[in-house]
Amino acid sequence: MIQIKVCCGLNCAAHGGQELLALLEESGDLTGRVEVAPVPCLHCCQEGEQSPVVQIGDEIHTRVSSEQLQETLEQLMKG
Amino acid sequence: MALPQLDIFEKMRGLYTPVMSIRRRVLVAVARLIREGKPAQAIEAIPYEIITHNTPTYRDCVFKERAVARERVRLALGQDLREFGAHEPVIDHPEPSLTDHRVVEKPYVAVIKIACERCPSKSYIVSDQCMGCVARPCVSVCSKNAVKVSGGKSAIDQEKCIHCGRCAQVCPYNAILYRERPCESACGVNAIGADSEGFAEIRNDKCVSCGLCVVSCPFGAIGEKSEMAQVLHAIRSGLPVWAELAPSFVGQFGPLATPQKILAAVRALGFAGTAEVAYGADIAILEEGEKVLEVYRARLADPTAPQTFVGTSCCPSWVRAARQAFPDLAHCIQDSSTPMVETAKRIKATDPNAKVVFIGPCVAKKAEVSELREARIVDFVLTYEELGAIFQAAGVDPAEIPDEAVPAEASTAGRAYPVAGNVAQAIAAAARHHAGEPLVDLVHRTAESLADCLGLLKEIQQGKLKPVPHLVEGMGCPKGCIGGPGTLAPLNRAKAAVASFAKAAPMEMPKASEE
Repeated sequence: MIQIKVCCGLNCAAHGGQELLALLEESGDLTGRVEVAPVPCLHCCQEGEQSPVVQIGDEIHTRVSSEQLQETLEQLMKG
Repeated sequence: MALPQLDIFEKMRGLYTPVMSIRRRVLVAVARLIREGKPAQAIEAIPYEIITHNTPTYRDCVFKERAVARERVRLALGQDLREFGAHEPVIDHPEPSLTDHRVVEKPYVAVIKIACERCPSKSYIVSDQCMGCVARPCVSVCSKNAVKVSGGKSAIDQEKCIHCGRCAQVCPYNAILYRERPCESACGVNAIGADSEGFAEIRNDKCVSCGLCVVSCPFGAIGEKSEMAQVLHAIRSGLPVWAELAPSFVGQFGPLATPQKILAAVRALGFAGTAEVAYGADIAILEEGEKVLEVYRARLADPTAPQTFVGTSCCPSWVRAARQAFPDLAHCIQDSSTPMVETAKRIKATDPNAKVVFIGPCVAKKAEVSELREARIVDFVLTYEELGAIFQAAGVDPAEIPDEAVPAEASTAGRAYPVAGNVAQAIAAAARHHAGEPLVDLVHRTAESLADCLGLLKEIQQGKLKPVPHLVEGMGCPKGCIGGPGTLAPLNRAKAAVASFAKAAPMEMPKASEE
């Protein structure tokens, strides 16, 4: 099971984090393969420039777009 | 299997786009500058803080990107946009915006012409999917002889085409596409057209400031004026500024920012107090419930009399659009005080010197406030997007702030108001409660989006809808206020958050004072 933590601090929530969370939660094909958790601010943001932030396993990804997230997940699931 | 077609409101919903990113970063930069009390000249630097790259990223030229950001700064300050093509200083005289009273004037929604790509308007075109088939149903079906085959493919003569869409309907390859300006198709009152050069143009006599064109333009070429600067000045100058939060505020700042935390975070910004607009919704439910019962009983007493109905009062774009388009039905649309006004009255009763800021999902409220019968009952309007920018500028994160106990001020029905359908349900329930009987044949209808609202009224006017509903709930935004242009949360998350907060209310329905 891949663990994904979506930062839900204000910067991330206002700059794409909520949309990523919704995308992960509403994506049926990830059910049972990915564990999604909204987490408090991971404090890697500065003035919104790094937002949104997602932690996949131990690795922190900044300025994540939905496209990047999908690609990363695809690779992890293959690997 | 092909996915279902999405309507214009659904296409970019739930996606965080560069247009949103720039818009929000401009708001944060302006809020920060005012909070920190930087000199007005610092405003000039904001476009360079937003567009830091020197090669074009979003448009064909970096100077254009900065020019668009500059126009956004003007809107964030509450100023009019510059006349396109005229020589004017970049931010001429910002001082009038840097004040603690309301200065924002019509139009509240405006086209940033330099950002407008002059999209083609209402036309059918043949795509490269055309196979140049032998049957040529597109040619046969066209009553205007506008479709010809040329070079082995169909082609549409735009001069002859009347946009009936029959050719697209019959093409076995779905090779004929309909193109429309997204802003135009989002506008439910036909207020958007094109000027002589093809730039989008808003007809202010028709526009109801719903703001749906703002969030539907993929080029970010339409924006709304903000009152953020004036609100921040009012707080800085020590005035007792109160915030009243629309019922859709829950869930807007992420799943960890509980309603209690959001209210505490608003007070941490320097607001003197906070109030739930759901309280005002409770009052509207009771008042409009009584009116529905009157209509119901009048119809029973005289079934042959012209059938009236109660149109809800809470959505300003629906109210305005309905009164504009159907003046003969205007008397049916309630002019009782809206939840926003009722809540503001309560605040002013507590603190007569209070400046009241309505914070919600709605752009049309900015217009409603300027047209209120009781002047200055509500002083300013902010959207959640603007409140989020102020939070960011102040370094206040609602998710991290300690929970504060907030007295519950409203019922489940009042808190559930921002989801389409719930308003009519609540008012009908209130009518039944007043009557003390189930009123089984009480009919209510909900219309979402202005086009649907006006469509429903047209059916009523033409006598096509039988029976005429006793109650019509009009919502300018699809899905209700949770779908408003000033929201931050994706629809499904917002809906779930509203439902959960509503469930936690101490009572299901509002109680009349005599109860």
